Amino acid sequence: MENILEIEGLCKEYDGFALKDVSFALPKGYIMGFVGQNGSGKTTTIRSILGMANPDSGRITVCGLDNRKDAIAMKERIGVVFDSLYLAGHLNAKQIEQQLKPFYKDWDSKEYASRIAQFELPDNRPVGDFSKGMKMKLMIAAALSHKAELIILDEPTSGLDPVARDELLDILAEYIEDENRGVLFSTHITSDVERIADYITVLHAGKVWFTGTKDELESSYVVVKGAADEFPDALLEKCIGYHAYRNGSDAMLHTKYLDEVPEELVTEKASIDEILVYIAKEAKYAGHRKNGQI
Amino acid sequence: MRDIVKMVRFDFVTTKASLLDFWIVLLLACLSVVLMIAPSTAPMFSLAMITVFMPAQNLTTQDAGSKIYGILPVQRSAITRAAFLECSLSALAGELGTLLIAWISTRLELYRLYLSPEETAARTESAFAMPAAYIVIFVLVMLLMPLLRMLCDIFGREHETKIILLVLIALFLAIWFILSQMAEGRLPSPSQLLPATLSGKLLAAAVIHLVMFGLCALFCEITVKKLADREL
Repeated sequence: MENILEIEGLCKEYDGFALKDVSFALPKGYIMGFVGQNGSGKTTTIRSILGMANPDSGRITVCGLDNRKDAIAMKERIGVVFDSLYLAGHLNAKQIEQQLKPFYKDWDSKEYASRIAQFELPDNRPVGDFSKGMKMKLMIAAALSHKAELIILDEPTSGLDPVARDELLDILAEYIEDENRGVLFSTHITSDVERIADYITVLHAGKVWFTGTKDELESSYVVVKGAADEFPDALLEKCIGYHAYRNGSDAMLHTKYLDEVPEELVTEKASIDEILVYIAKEAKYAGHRKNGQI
Repeated sequence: MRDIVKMVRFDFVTTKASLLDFWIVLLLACLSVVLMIAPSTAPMFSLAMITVFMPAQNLTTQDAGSKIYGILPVQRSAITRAAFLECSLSALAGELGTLLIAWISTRLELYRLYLSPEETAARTESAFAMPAAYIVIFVLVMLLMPLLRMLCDIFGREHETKIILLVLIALFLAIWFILSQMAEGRLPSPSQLLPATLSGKLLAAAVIHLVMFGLCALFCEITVKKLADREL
């Protein structure tokens, strides 16, 4: 399978935060959910792809183009949707086209007009006055009009109402019908990822915690619940995010250790949301556990 | 170069959409004053031209930050060079516009409607009596705009107000010092510096323009170098 996006060994250090050896790949024809809690490094990774952040090391390629050496050719093939509009708010959709068109060899004005009409966006109103959903659609219309092969979305659905979110996901599903395209979809709303993503990369504290297919992730982890004293010590070592409450305890466990789970404990398939929560709990409570506080 | 032109066009769309009404009013105001009062007031058009491009990149980033510059398929240096080219274009367009308006004013002599023939003739003659004034205005605009752009880009937009204030204070002090020195005869006036012949004046004007464009290019390249590794 040919990859549309490849990131290898990406490292970037800021004061109080670092991306550490981030590596993952998105094959053509698929949507990747890029998930992690706030501050996990999703936006820094996206900014690195776009050349807005200068990585300390690592290599990024989009459609086989190096993001530094071939930055311009690469950006012609990328469409970006940020959580907020990146265009001047006092311009209308027609003026936005006048601005963007000269930068893209493959800009298709008919496509832009038809997308604006399809998304029911007024072309004579300042785009800054658009609702958040309309702004998302405008950015997607721009991306589709220059025939972007990879669309990168950074938290596009946060703050969107359910109807607008649903519309956005439908647009992405339609976009990906062309097998030469790809979508990197950064979000912390995991229900969107569960609905639309084929691949998932989970980022935690600047590191890739998991990267692979959604099915692989969903089938790899279970939630184990039971009384605290029913968790054998050997199993506790393998648990992720173990936490004891007043009326029980729970943790996440890789399915390869299922044989070691006593019958008294209950296991359930872990959702992506739960996986993120247990990863966060692991970071929060691991230290406490070592100190015997849990 | 093509990328720089694209960015100039990008910035022009940004300001045109926001300031077109303002420009029309400004142009009409300038024309009214120059045509009806005196052609020697034409240099105000040079100053008015500053509003064409100077706020462009601020208008682009005020709503959405600088994300657009990370998304557009264009080199970072082209964005900076476009901004400095816009400074030069504004100054040059201002100067040419000034000369054109002044010339039209002397042809129409609309102020004759309320002045005596002698006063009318005196105003018409005053239009180009001080050619150095036009050059001084051009030099000021060509010095100020790229300098402010460079300082704001290097030290950050958040310090823009402080930078503008400091530069303007420094400029006024410099002008006051130069004028006081001229008044005391320690420095020659710009008119005295210009050669007496027309060809000499034209040559001097051309050299001054080249020097100012060179200075603008220098400020531009310093800014490009300083911003090269800075994150957006």
